[in-house]
Amino acid sequence: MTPLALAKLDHHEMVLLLVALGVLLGSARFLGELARKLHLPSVLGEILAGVLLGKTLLGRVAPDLGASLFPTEGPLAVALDAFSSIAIALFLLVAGLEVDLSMMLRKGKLALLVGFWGMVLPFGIGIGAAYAIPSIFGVAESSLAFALFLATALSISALPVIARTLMDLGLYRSELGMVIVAAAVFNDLVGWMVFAVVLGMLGSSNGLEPSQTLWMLLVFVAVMLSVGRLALNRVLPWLQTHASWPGGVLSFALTLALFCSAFTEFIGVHAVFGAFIFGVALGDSVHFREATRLTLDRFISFFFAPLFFASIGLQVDFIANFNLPLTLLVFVIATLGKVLGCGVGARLGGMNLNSALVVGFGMNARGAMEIILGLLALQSGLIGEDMFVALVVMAVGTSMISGPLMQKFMKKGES
Amino acid sequence: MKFPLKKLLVPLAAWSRAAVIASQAISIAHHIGAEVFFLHVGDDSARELLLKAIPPEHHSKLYFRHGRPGREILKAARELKVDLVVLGALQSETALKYYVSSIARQVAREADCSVLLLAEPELCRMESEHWGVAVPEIGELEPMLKLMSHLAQFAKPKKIDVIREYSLSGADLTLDDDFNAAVARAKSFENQLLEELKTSIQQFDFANAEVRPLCLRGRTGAESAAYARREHVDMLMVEEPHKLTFLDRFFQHGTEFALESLPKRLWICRAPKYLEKSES
Repeated sequence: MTPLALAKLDHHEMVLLLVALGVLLGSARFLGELARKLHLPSVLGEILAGVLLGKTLLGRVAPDLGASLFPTEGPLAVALDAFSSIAIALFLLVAGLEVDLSMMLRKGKLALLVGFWGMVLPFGIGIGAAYAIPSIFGVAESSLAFALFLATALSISALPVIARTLMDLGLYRSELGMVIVAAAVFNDLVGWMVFAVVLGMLGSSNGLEPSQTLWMLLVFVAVMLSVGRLALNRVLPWLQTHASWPGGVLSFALTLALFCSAFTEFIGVHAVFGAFIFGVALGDSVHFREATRLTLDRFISFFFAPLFFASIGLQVDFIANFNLPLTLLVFVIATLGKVLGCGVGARLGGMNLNSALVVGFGMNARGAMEIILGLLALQSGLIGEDMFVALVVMAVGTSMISGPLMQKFMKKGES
Repeated sequence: MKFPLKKLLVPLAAWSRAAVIASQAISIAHHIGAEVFFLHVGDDSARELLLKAIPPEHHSKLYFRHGRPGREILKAARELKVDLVVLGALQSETALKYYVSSIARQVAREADCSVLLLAEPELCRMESEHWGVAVPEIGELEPMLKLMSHLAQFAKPKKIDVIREYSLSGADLTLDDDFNAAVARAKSFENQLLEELKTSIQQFDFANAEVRPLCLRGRTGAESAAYARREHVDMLMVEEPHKLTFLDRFFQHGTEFALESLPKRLWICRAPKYLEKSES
């Protein structure tokens, strides 16, 4: 077969692709709904769908069927990977929309202290652990890139999960809630920046030196968050007046998100970062209407996100790669680092011990952000499959315990 | 009841609107029983024009200074211990001017006291006007409502919209939620805010003004500013306890949205210290 013929899906492969996508989406949504009924995050169900359809279950029980539907190489695998890549980029676009750049300014010193210490302490623990005990993480000898990745993985928070938890506990409008959200915004932004630097350090296949990649990354971020924001503030009102709604603005947003993703992928950072930074710039504009934002959320949440989360479960054998001591270690040091770090920041800002612990546990929810970070690291070869599984378990676990522990310390504070 | 604002400072430039701004400021001072001072920063060539713009009984309160206008105005406000600075301002500026900051906006951002910006200074009665007051998202509404109540006794507006803005940052990305539930939760949140607003409003007397509580979802500062422009509100009152810097313009939030495109009158309230002085 000529390379040109390989580049195209044949009739059989096209059928399989459509069936595979249908099976992934259907099972992800089904299990997601089931999880929701059991008062669990639906993302848990979506990942479980991939786990069951991937190497963990289907790959064991019916390996031929599993290999046909979800092959690991060939044109069909490429097509599925492409869908997954676009899905994750769009997911990060929506995550970026939720970042309110002015939040830190509004909430001031306390939020900055919580955000800063909530990053610095777990970051330090991550760097220390990476260099002290690399073999436990499946790495023969630690590199700066791995150390920075581990540090980032331990220090990142998940803004959507935190916001939801605060709403459910009725804390969203409190001063405490606003401090936590502002600190989480800081964590998200800084965490992704650091991870982008890590990816840049790994070098790209387009011949750019890591230093060139880093410079281009910094220029991209600076331009997007300055001139880019101003330009969007001029363009959006014009679009809203002259183009159809919501189609005009949505197409514009998605087009630019894809271009930004292409740019960061080109410079060797990863497509998601371009979409994330564009989302931050777009979300900052007061002219980007809530209704447009919700339409974009729904479009991505109901189609792309389940596909993406299910595809995560396909990647690895969760049973074979489940390493209990590693998972426990990651869980414990992540939780300790975050709770202590944010707690220290809160105490330095004048909060009492109970409130500081509420803040710490609130910020400990890792959610989808941690999972995405882990997946990108796995794909880049920074971590092995057992470390990825440990990160997924830690992400889900911390998200689940965050609310109940916040409630416990709140009640303790009240009594 | 004595009004908590005792001293007004009115910086005047030597331009055609000086007389109108002076009249508007005197009208406000008359309504609230405050003393008014006038200030011109520049050379003495404007003296004759300004003396014509100000009624004779106020000539003794006209001061002249030299130096950078914004700085001198802020300095004078501190020295005279004024409670309110009243200035004319352009409704909107070019992007460069916005970031560099015009005199009026510099004073609005950096004054220690409240500032009233007049984008459309006209000889209008304060009675029968439509006002808006944006109360803080979190924390106490009472100081702003109390100040508005004081002002309403003297100025007797026809209608007051009490605006509370709120945002649900991060909560829209509800990948683990049913959107119908998310919409219902947002609605319940809004209803709760509205009830709190109504309860707070009932504690104050706004003369015979029609008082309407409003909850607007979106960016704090942006929604109230947009509302004021859309509804042609005669005066919008906002609270801004902190001085604003370049960072606040660059990462735009709160009062900066109103400063970007002014309503007819924008009263930037640095309220708490003045209400501490108020006599019941």
